[in-house]
Amino acid sequence: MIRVFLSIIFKDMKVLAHSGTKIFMPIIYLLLILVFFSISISNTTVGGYERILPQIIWLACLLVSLLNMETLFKEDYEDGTLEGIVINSHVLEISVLAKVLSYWIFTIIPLIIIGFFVNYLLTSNFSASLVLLMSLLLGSLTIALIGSIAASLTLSIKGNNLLLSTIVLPMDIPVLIFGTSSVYNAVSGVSYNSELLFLLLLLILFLIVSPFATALGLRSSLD
Amino acid sequence: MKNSFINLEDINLTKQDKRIFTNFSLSIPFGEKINIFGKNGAGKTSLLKIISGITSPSSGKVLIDINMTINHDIFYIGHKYGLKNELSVSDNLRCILKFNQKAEAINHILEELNYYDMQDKLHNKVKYLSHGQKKIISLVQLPLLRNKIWLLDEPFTGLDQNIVDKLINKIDKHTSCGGTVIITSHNEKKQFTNIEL
Repeated sequence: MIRVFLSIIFKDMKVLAHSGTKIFMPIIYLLLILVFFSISISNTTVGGYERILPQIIWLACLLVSLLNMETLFKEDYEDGTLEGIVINSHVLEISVLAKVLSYWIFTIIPLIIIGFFVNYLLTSNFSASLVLLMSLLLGSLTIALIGSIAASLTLSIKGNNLLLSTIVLPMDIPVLIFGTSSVYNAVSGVSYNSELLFLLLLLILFLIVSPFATALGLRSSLD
Repeated sequence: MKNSFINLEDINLTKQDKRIFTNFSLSIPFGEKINIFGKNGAGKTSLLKIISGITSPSSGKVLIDINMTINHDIFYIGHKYGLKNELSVSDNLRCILKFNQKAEAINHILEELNYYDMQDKLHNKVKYLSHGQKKIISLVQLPLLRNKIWLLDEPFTGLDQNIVDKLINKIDKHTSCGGTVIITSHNEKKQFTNIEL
């Protein structure tokens, strides 16, 4: 079981390593969003930029990770790999979890690391940057798990990216609220533990629910 | 029925309001080579997908009466070959073998490629191979994975006669060892038990 799990992650890593743009484009896109945000609010928030930067980073990471969500199963679906995974998986839910984890590790974690460094370099607030890192780690995996359900359901629909975002974004609101609240609290110097705990709770909930729902979605998309 | 390997009982399948199968039943014994043939849209691919478990019939039962799980002993090759364009032939086959927990077969990759005269393509990226060569790479997996049931959707299409003969030899070898092979095509094949849809 663990070997199957690792083989899926290893294969995705190899495919990504041979097509480098898939890792670097989201990072460049994230940096561009941050630059555009900074330019657009530079006149309106004199002195307040440092307070809202972590929240902007949080939102930017959410949006960029959503943009890529479509690719989670799409390529496997188009080249026939997904049929092999569905037929030959003893437990399809484990294979689904491996796909989501590999997406999170290779696509979202680089964004989180960049977000952490950008925030630390621009605000020099290490503790708030650390909270940003922790809340993004917890929140982004939950977002990926929520996104995997929608990605599996919209798999057979062409041009599904907008539909996928429309389905996923409302479901991401609780994660966004607790994620941005935790970093705002950290910047304001008040406790952020309860927000992080809520993020952890949401993560555990979707770790349990999402693989089953996604496996069902994949089967119905291949049907 | 008792000695059968695969039993389909009263299968009904409706897709987009079109009835594809109505109370369709089929019994396939051990070591059999089956050719399911019929015109376009007759439901050949749908039937293979039902047996493989990818598609669920609207009603009816698919029974595999042997002490094995349907999951692990079926290999299906459809119109898509399950190969990653960015990876080399070697990497693709290695990843597939590891996923199917047959890592010990990695040592036989070159031998199987050699059988189809494709040994020189071992380190070529799949995206540089022709359609027929991609199909051969997908067929190379069959003896490496050693699944009991092979489900091959139009396996001879796009292959030259030399490769077709070699594939038929592999199929004969597999069925003589007790394996079952079900293929689809548009016409009858003399080496196979033919079933028309």
